[in-house]
Amino acid sequence: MSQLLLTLLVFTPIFGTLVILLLPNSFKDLFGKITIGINSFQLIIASYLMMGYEGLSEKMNGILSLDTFQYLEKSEWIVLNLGTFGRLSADYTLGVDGLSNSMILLTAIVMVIGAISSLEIKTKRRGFYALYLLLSGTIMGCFLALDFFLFYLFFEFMLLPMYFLIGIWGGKNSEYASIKFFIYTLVGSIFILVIMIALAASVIDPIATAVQLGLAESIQQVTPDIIEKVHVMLVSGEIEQSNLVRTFSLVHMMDASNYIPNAILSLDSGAMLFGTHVRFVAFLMVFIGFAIKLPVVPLHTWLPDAHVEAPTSISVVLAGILLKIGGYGMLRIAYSIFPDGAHHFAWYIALGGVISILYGAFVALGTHNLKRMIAYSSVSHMGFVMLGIASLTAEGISGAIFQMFSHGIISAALFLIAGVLYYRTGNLEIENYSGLSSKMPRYTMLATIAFFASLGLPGFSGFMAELFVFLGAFNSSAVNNLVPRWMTIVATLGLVLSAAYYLWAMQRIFLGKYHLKDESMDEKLKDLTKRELLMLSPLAVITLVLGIYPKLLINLIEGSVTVFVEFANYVGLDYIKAIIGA
Amino acid sequence: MNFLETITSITLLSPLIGALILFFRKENLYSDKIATTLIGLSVVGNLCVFYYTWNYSPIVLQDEWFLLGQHSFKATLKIDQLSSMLLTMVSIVSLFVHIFSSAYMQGDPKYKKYFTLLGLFTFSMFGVLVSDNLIMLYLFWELVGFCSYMLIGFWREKNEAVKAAKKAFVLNRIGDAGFMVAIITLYSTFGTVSIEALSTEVDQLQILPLYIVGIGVTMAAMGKSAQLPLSVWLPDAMQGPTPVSALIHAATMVAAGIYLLARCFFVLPAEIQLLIGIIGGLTAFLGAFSALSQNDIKRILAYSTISQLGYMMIGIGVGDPEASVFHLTTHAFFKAGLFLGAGSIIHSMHQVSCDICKGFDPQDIRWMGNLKQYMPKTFIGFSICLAGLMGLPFTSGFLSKDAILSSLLVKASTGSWEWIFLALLGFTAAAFTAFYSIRLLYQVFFGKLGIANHKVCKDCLVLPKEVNVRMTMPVILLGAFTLWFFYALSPFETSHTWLQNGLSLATVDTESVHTLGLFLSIGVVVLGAGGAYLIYFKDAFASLKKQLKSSSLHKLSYNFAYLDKGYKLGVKTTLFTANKLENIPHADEYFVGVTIHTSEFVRGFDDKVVDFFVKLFAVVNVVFGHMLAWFDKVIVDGIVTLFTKVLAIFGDVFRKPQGERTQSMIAWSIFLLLIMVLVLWFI
Repeated sequence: MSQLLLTLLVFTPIFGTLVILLLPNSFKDLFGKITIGINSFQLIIASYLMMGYEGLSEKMNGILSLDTFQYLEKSEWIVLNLGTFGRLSADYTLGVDGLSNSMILLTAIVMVIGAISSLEIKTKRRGFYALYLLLSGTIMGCFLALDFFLFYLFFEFMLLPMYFLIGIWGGKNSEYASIKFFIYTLVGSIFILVIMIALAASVIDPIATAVQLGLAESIQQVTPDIIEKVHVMLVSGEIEQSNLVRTFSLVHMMDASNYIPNAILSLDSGAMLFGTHVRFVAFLMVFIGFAIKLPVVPLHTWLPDAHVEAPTSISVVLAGILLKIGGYGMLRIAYSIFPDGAHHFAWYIALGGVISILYGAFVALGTHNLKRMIAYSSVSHMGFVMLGIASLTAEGISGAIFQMFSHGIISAALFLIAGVLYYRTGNLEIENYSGLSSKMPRYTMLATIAFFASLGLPGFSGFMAELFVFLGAFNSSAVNNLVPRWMTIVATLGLVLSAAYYLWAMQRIFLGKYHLKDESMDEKLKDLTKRELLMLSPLAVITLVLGIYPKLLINLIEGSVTVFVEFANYVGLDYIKAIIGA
Repeated sequence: MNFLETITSITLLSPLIGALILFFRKENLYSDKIATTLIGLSVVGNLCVFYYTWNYSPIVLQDEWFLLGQHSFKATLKIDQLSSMLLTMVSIVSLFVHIFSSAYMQGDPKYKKYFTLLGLFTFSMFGVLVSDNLIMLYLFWELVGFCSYMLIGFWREKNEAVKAAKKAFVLNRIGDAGFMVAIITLYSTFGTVSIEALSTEVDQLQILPLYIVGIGVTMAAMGKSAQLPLSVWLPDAMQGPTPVSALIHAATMVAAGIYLLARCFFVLPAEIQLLIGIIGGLTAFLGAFSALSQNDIKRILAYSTISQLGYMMIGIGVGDPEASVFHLTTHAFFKAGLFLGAGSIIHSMHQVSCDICKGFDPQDIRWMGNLKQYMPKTFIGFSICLAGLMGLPFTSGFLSKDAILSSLLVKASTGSWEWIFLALLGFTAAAFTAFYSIRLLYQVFFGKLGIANHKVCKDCLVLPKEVNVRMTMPVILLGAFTLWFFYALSPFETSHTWLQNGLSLATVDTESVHTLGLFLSIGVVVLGAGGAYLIYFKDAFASLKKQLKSSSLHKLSYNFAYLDKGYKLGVKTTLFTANKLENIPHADEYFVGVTIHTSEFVRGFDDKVVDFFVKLFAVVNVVFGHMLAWFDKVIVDGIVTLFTKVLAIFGDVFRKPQGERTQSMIAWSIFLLLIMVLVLWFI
């Protein structure tokens, strides 16, 4: 049973989609409840997995080799015989390590909250919930997949429901927003697709190749010695093309000795593109693919539009989880496969992070729409993720992951807060409201918590995340000299700006004398309902607990982060030397 | 956990427990009693802790917080003499403020929330004082800022209050950003953020990181302790309830910046110390200068606080943090007393006015006067505290201010011009302080009651009354703490008070300038106070006073050197640019636009050409469908109907002559016949 938990995590919601599609129309009031039920089931499994996850174990830290992943599920999936080009195999591989575990938990939490929030949807419910469940399954798949092909499949399948969810159930201008979202993400995924194919053409699976060569009878019998032998044979060109088993496995792609000599993306490839080594270009393409998703200034403009138009629950999912796939993808794919590129472009990536932090915060100051402001604050907060990742220090990477988790929780709360107002009046222009605190005291209290959590008040998780990122980014110049110190110092200005725009919005909407531009709204403005409280209070508790006791999350990710940082630093430098040598 | 640790934990946690109890309670009733009891408990506990740490050793509580990379971050509480002294001070002031508030805030609908926030604030302030880990210190540092934000904006219907709260938080955030830079620099350079570990590891040779750290912590102190140019938030913060101003914006939180500098004194390079001194000197001067012309009683005290904090900064700057901390302590008591006294005065001035009184501001000292007659107890407490502020002999203020000024004199006597300039600023500010104190004393307690001359109000005037004992008692007790004998046996023994001696911080030997310092201090006070006495009490120099009032110097003082204007301009430009940035069309919008247009064009093509065939096909299909339907309806259905009709006719034909049973027999025979036909057909 426990062997199939991850599959269950991915495919229960997809099965739920079918169920909802097939149920007769007389069940339409149940669709919402079914969705909540399935997502809660996901949450239970995810929590069970996290409780059993050995965060501090020495060996089971994932990242580098498949057998160190926890809850690993692997089976053969697609094997293509390419004749003289050998074989191409994509495996069905799911596994958990410190890079993905927090994201899985986050996905499970936010999806449940989003499902509860979806009860507000009144039209075309069958389609909505079917797509929503499809989305929850594919997102989980994205975080769990350890095979590039599988990952890409989930990645693309996630795009589709999102497009419809924004386009059909969104606001007035939703068609424009959803097309924009679609185009942006599609461009990103085309970049990723190209590199994925190039990688598959360059990398072999040494284990399967050994079996193919007859060095071992079955995959289980392949020992490290045999793998070593395959590597040696590969370098010396003793293996015939037709015996090579090319692979999509993300883990195999991290090991330089699995690259076919002189293949397009191998270290000794002499190929140059735009005057740079092709591996650097490849890194950049994958990175940009994920940077669009994160998003990074100047690739961010789809985000505010998508948020403003999307229905509340979809905003929650979009900000809470989808953006994190960008950060996760950078770590799992761009940085793991091309640590050389990570070193090469660190300066620019860090600069991108700092610009995102400041630019996002600055523009948020100038917005008039509450959701737009929160969207830009997301851009700013994702800048911290970039900066942390760029630093390639344990503190920075932990900070980036912590920030992803924390922002997932806090932005979900923020969009719910905006949704509360939107649900009642259908209007989010800040200037329309004033002094809501006297009319809706409970709402104001939770909004205050969410705002202060987001502006990084110590005691909330957002602060811890920012602190870790700052520590890591500043320390980088002492450890690996990737991020200059002035960048971190400049980035601290973000602290001031975020306080400014949040408190200003707070002042304009909630404080001062109670006043509405449109008097007819008055009777619609009721304080929080029980359902809304049920969604918001757990989020508030989570961010508070993590802010005071960050150990709970840190212990889950730290082991893998250490492995990752060591790998990316040492191997990255080695690769760079090899490339320059070539 | 041993007995001592238990006591310490209870002491530190009891304000938080109080806040939590109030938070989860529904009604306002007994809020003050619960909060005050728990603070009282804290005072007792703090006195025990104080006794222990001064006579034995520091108390350390430590636990692992989290592990990051190779570094383990420990949550460490360390209570040494400095901490325990300030803990005691904070809890005593907080207790008085609680007692005062129970009367002052009576009847406020948000009574419970008020005490919740006071408790949370006291707890956070404790946290600032006991944290050894700089990250924890930062945590509590911002929490006190948060409490300050909530309390300044406590009456959140008031727009000015809300704006002031936001201003305070954002300006403090600028300082906090500096603090953050200091923390990450220390971590990166020395690998630890524990103050105790740093005190042994800091290597003065790494001068560049230490400059960054120095500027960072100085910025932090500039924010919290309202130093130039970040000081503009403090006068506005007076929008909060007056007891809050007493506790947070006079006695405790604003001193946190000074505390931080005293704690981190060992990392400050000499150049940074000079910078701190200059900032402090300018602030002390400008604050006192601005207090000269204010009319709002709380604003006078606010500018006075800024100026006094400037003195403490000078103390750090001259390398005598002991004197700074000493001044911090004495100032906390007398300034809290002054603010609470001001609260009492405002409270009873409120009672004086009536509904028809337009343009009457209960905080404006020009409407006050002769209050010593109506409020004698408040008068006694208030004037003792005022004496402390002026630095009159036999008060604690004299001891502590003189300690700072003599250290400054020692520096100045080396002949370097910066320190001479600072000494000049310091002594001038002392004279100004004496001047505005006497002015305040006269306008409030002497002369004639100003409101009695108000055109409308004088008709409905109710004479001011002495306030409740819960409000007079704290003021008088705080006045008592202003007397010298709590701090030193001899009222002129300025640099060897037992508090300073126990502190074991850096200090300056002021023996050489002791007498000179004494005479100068007393001299400037006499000069300032004497001038004010002549002008206000004796009405001398009337024409000079008039001239000064209309001069630009007066405006400069009244507007705090127009600092606020500068900030407003900055904020306006920022917002303007941010707005523009949000509205500029982004390049990608064209991209998306083009894509959409192309898709629309393709759709048009689709409509006209592709769709034509599709439509044609559809039409053909439909026509065919219709034909089929017609065929179905007319031909197929017709045949079936015909068949049944024929059958019915047959049935009728056969049924009529025979009985009912024959009918079924015929039916059966036809059925059999049909089967026979079918069988024959297929074979």
